[in-house]
Amino acid sequence: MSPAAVHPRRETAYARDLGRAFGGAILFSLPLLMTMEMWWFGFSLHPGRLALFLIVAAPLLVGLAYYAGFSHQHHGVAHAVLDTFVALAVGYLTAALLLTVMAIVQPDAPLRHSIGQIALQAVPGAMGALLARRQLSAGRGDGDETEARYPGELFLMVAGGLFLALNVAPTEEMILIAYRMTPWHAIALIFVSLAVMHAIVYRAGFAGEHRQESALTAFVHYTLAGYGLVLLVSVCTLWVFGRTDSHGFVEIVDAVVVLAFPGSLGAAAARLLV
Amino acid sequence: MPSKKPAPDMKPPVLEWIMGGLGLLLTLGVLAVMLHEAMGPGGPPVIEPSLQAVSGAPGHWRAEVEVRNTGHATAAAVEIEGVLGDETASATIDYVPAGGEETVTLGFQSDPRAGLQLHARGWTEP
Repeated sequence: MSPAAVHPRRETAYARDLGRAFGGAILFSLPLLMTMEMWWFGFSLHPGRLALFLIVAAPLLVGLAYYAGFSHQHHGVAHAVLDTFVALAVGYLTAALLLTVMAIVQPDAPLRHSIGQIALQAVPGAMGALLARRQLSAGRGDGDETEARYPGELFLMVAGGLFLALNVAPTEEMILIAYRMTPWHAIALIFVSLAVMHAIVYRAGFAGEHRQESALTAFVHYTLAGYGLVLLVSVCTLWVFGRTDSHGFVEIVDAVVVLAFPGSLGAAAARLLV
Repeated sequence: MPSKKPAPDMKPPVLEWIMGGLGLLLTLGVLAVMLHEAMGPGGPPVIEPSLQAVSGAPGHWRAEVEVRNTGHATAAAVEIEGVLGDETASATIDYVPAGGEETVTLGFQSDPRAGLQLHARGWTEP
């Protein structure tokens, strides 16, 4: 890159995109920034798990960047990777600033804890930053997701599911609800999840408008496939937060079904979010 | 430079490179810290309470107790007990992170500077 490549107008336009990304990061990660379990996970989670979470999140963010992006001038995978790291920087800075202002990150705490607390929050923050353009830009410009093919649409469902699941997974309530539920409750919740998910998918989401698919085909292609993926997302999310440790198999399945409910809504509504 | 107009739209702005580099740097830094810790020595929490300061007046003393965790795991619901003659006072701390410290205050009628015995009664794993 030569110094001549600096174009003031493009820099300011990008600064505006960046500002919007910070807005998105704050908006989307605020519920998690204000969840006390997330503060504790910052130091109580096994560091290996936290590292794995960050590593697994990276390709997911790249995918989101590819489909949603956060700047107008983005094309291709290489730029999506760059977008991802920008979004992560936005996520780290947002989390560091807000956690410090809310006195959760303390200057006299061991550095390792503050790093853990901020890193854990940086991922949802980065997701928010990547979604900012679609959510906060009054409908200017479409992403590439309109031409997303089937695997891409499944990916968007995973991202949407993870996004909503992340917001509730750290809370004690997930496990508490699972404890309270009988097997019949769990079965009922599965049907409710599928029904609501299908209603959104077919009416507003993936299979709706542009396709001539029957409700049944859409159910198999999107709702069932999406729900299956959301169940996997739920297992992984619960594992990361240590919610599967020292729990019996049935309790874990219950918790997965509970978490898959918000997850399935997120997956079905991914088209609206992303 | 006469013919340089299609290029600007393809190359990312400098600000984007700066932010992207920052993100990469932060991510690698965090991963390094986490993996270093993951590879490091494990072991249970080691809770060490010690008397920091005493305030108050005869009849109602306050003993400020610093609780350190010198182990390699976080302890939750740490119950700290102080015994002073026939008096017993206790307090519970939500979390004491590995390498971290928290402060509790115990109340006594007699002056805790003379013969206060402190210990951690127990804790759970988070």
